[in-house]
Amino acid sequence: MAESISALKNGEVEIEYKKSSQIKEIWRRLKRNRTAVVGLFIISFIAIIALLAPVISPYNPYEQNLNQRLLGIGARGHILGTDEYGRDLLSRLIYGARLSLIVGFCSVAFGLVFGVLLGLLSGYYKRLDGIIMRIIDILLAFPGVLLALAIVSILGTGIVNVIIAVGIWSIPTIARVVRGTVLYIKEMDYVTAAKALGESDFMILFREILPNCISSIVVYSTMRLATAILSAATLSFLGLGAQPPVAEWGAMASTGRNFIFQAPHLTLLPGFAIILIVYGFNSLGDGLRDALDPNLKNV
Amino acid sequence: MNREILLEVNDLKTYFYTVDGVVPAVDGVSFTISKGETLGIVGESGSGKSVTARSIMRLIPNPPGKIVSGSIKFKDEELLTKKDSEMRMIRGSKIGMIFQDPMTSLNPLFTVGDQIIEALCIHQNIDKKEAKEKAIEALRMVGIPSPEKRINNYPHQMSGGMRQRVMIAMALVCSPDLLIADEPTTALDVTIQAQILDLIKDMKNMLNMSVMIITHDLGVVADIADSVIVMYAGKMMEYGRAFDMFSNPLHPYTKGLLDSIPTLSMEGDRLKSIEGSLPNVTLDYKGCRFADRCSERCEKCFVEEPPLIKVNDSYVRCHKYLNRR
Repeated sequence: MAESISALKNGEVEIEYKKSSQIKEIWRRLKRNRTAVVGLFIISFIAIIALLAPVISPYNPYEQNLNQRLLGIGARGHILGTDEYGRDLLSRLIYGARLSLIVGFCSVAFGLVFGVLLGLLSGYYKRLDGIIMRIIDILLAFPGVLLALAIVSILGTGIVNVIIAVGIWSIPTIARVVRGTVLYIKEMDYVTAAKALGESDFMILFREILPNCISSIVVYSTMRLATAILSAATLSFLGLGAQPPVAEWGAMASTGRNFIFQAPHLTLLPGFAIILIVYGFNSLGDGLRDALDPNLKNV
Repeated sequence: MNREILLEVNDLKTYFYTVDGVVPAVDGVSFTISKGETLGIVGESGSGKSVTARSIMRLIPNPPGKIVSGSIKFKDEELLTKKDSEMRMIRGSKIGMIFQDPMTSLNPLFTVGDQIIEALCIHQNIDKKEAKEKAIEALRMVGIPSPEKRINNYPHQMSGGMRQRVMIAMALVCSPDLLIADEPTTALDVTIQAQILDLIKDMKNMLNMSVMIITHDLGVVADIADSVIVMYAGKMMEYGRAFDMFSNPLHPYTKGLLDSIPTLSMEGDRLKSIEGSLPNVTLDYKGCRFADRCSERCEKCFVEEPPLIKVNDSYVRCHKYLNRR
């Protein structure tokens, strides 16, 4: 534990406890996990690029230059070449990072709001459990991206609709994860003790149970971010998400496909970017799980 | 001594409806607790002690548990017909409760100060600063050194005994009239046990409250209780003043329990025990529940359940005393 023996006062050992000890402890454990550090590095790298996109990108990602179409990697003035309209690929990739992160975070946030609420309710109230879980089962019965595809085809194409679709698709699994944790936490003695102190159901749910679910929610959301970004890119690749000329990795890979023999980098580089971000979130999630799992604490 | 009655439990029945059938965990328990009285409930694991306590607090998980019948009167108010919201006003403020395992009874994510302040704020309309002072005062009261520093500790930074003191502080911070202690010393080592019992005794005198203490340790009862209930398989086997029970135990089960206490003089002998274990009780159970293990049983014991019989000032559930009246 983060105790530091500060001074000997009157022969007594004074032990100081720091309030932030938990966060430090998690950080310390995360640092020891190499994949987690790599993941964290990748995510920070992409996040910084996304934040500084207007500053660091060499060109406007939408500026067409038809004299310089389909340049290869290493071309003069365009390190990563240009696409079929002569737009700078590096700039488009940089702006694509923005979009991927926004779509990922927004859709997971959307899924969290509803998923956590449903999970809490169905885990805590046995009466609601049956109804909520059957609805969740129905949503889970749709294979993979198919549900998101169906939602997008109802709502229409576009980034906002992709966020909603991927968000809705995230609800059932998040609800399942939260419900499982609630079922475990609500049997803990401190929940009974809280009841014996006269706490209301609302307080027990949001003060005793929810805070103790946070670690599994954080871990799962991190992993879910990867899935959300991947499925948003998939939808764009299929032409249902971001519409041209928006610089989105999935959409870029999709249009680049037409030139796969003349300029394979148009498909490969956005694909590689997607792999990188998905790998980053997944390994960060793995590391967080190890760092936050109380059962592994003294390992 | 005719003191004012604080809690009156009458023919309480709490059943659990499981897949394997109905389990009468508490089957017709009646007792009273006067103001300032300490009642001990003893019995082995599964005898229904904790279920009795939780029934009073209405903390039986339903389903599978259900209070089937009986009445629980606290200050002449029936608790069993109260609405949930009314019951919440009683829990914590009028009846405090402490639990067996202090290691898991505190929320690991909040400082002990926050948790005591929380307990205060549920029932009293006070501002944060005042609540904090009261929390420090409560920690000092239960004997935690330098409470103004300890208030910022998380539960994992405290020892088991310390945490049980915090639990007691939380239960008593609203000065309840009744403290229910569900095996408060079971998870602690012997020296700490004595300290915690002393603390409960001190608090009881200081706040002038009644205590209901649940334990399987007769030593605890001898130390602290004015009257005792011996429970077996959901039934009251003996109920009387603690002094009477120790000097003149009536029920064969009580005798067996007292005989099982190891003494130093029996060096080298094997520890005495009551052979067998609790029966699987169902609703249509016939006869005395202790009959299988009883050393003084007769044929009648297997056929008919004995009623509670008054002997002197005590009550006992045994056929042996039926003819002696």
